[in-house]
Amino acid sequence: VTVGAHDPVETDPDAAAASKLPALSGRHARLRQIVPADYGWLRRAELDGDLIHRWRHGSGTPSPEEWVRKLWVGVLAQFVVERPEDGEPVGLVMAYQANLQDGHARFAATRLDGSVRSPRLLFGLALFLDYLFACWPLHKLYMETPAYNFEQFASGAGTAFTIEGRLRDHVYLGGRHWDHYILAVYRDAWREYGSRWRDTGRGQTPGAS
Amino acid sequence: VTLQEFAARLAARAHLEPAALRLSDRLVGDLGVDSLSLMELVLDLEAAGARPDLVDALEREDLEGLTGARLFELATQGSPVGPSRMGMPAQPGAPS
Repeated sequence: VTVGAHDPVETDPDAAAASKLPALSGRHARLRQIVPADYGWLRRAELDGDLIHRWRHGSGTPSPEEWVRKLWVGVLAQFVVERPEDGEPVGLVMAYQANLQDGHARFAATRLDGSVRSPRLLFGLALFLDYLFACWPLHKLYMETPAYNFEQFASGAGTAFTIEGRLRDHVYLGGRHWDHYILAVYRDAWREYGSRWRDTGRGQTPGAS
Repeated sequence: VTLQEFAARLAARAHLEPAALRLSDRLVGDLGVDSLSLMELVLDLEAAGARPDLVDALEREDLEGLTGARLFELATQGSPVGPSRMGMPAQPGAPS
């Protein structure tokens, strides 16, 4: 589009806000896209140790081909959370089953070494939630979690998230049934609660090198 | 970050009165501070002037066994909390 020197141009006051893209990197964590070269170690991380039970495969052992398909089925966005200093992967965040007509999606996050409580994953998850709310007109994000995972972040009920459902004895693991929680993070609530997690001091916008 | 400020913040996370707090207790196993609350406490400490690389330091710790005293030591870049201070209530004006 060429604008003549004498053509009046009206500026959109929201243009500056629209160009403020979400950061993919903060002081404590960085998000990067998954590439095929990640498949080998990522599959081992998901299927070795506790994660085989606690993460999406529910103790099953999918074939390598099926594992790749499951990695991407229904996914809206997915990133490896890594340490900014050296790119060491610490976790995985994903959004899936998005319903863009009604404005909601599901998200999930896990540490890649389930035996280690790395403090960085939550910072990566905060970046990811900012990314989702900035890039799509989602008004709420759901997370589903069994009770044996919920206890790690239960303190956030009423502030970081709301509990919208609890399915009694819904999940079987370790010789017993566990309750299953359906949690929701609302856009407006996240704008307020998430502000303390934001740190774009070494920020990087999508597409930047 | 003074010891009093730290103890007050940690007691709030653990839903305890500061006087009932024992810094020798493990945050996760004894005080019931979950992963989210622990990291919120870290954000509080960073905002209050704790060492800027506190998260880096925590990554090298066994978070399951992390005590209040150890977290204070990390947050203040190695200022140890002596045994005499364990369980010391947060008193206004007390030395940190």
